[in-house]
Amino acid sequence: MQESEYIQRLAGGSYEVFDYFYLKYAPLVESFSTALLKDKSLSEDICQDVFLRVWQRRKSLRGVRSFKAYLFTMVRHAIYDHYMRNRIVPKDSNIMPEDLPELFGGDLSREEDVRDMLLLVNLTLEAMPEQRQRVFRLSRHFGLSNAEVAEKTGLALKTVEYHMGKALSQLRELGSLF
Amino acid sequence: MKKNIIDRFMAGDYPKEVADAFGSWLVEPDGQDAKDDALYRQWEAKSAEDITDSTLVRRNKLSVLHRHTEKSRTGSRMPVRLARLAVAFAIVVALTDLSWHLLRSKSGKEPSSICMVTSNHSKGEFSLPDGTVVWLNNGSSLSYESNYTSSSKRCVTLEGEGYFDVVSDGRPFFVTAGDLTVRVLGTRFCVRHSGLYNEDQITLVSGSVRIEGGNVSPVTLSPGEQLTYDRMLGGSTVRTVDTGDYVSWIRPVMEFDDLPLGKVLENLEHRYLVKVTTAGDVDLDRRITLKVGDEAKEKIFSIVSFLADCNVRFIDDGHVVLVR
Repeated sequence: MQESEYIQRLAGGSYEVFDYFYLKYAPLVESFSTALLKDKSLSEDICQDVFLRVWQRRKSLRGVRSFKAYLFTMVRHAIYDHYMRNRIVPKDSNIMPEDLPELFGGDLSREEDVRDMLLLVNLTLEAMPEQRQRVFRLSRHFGLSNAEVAEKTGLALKTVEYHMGKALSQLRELGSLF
Repeated sequence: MKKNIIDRFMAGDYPKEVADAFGSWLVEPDGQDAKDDALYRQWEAKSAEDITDSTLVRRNKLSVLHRHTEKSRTGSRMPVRLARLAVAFAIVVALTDLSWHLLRSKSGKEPSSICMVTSNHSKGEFSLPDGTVVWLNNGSSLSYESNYTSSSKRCVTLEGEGYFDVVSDGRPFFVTAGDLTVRVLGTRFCVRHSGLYNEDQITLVSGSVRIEGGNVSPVTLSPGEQLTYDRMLGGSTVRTVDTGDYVSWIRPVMEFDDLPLGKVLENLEHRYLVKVTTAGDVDLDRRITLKVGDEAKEKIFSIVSFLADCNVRFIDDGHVVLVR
């Protein structure tokens, strides 16, 4: 049977075709979502939601030629929807372009890359626990030493060192994206 | 480049903070076309053909989905259910308390057919005229023509699940189950053809069987092999299995000694001929020890749920759900 025939049967409400598409594509949806979300159980939920929506909107499949391409638009929508709801709004730049070479070694040549990198760095910082952000900012913006940061925040020196280490290593992870 | 960022992020392992930042970067309107293009290339690069998944875990997820989709199903379902109910009622009246019965259809010139039936709550062990022994699982039926002894070949038709110990008497023995026909001489094997499952299953314990029909080229199984036939796709696969898991239901007592829950459920699915679904994070690797005699399925599954630290629900006669 041709795929187009399967699609028409699904649009007509065939449970068997639904099961067939599910068994064939659900692993793909899950692995694709996991690659983008880095969260396996969230990806499994998204996969279930997507297929439920495919079923609920099966009538709109009549004009569809490739099920896989149709599925992509559904999956993309679900993932974007999740990220929109959990969106971090970048505040005023905490990290300036001139800070980048120090953090990543400075081989960002294209202007577009600098823009993306700056956005990602600031978003990553924004995603960190509040205490870690505070420690990092005091150290970066005011040039305080770890001991001074500890004094100013009332945190133990060990805690400050831990947060600084974590913040730097998480930001450096971004270096591998470019 | 946006494509590089997406490709590298998807291929790598990143902490939660970076993933959150990536997500917020992704939904930024800046360069959305380039991002979508990169995503679609990633999607196309993954091929679905070789990962069709019909493991127990996957089937479980599918049946969870079924319960949601059934709500949105249209009115055609009701009459089907009612019709089934009427048939079930008629059979119960005919069988009263007996676990099985022989039903002879009205005699005529044509060879009449003999049918053996088990109710939804019992199994049965039957002997055919040639000494072949058949165990029928819950809610199954086996029929054959009255000329079984005189005919040049022995033919039976199965609905549900049956285990056969075929006596060799020189005549071939055929089991028809849906689209498939199994041809044997003398051997022991198990056939499942049930509306509960989309797949038919033939498991060979000893001897040799030849399977034909259903648009697949004929296959000969060796002992320990199992053929799975997908009724929808018309395709079949053969794999090697631990046959004990598939024929254990014929024994009066089953013992599970420190076995993973997933394996125990596989056995119980066959013993009670039900479909077991797990939802939430029920741990299928958790090891349990259990002895099963002639207890009702409700009792056994509530013990299993206790051992596996989860709850059990019975949706209808054919479905059992374990939830955490």
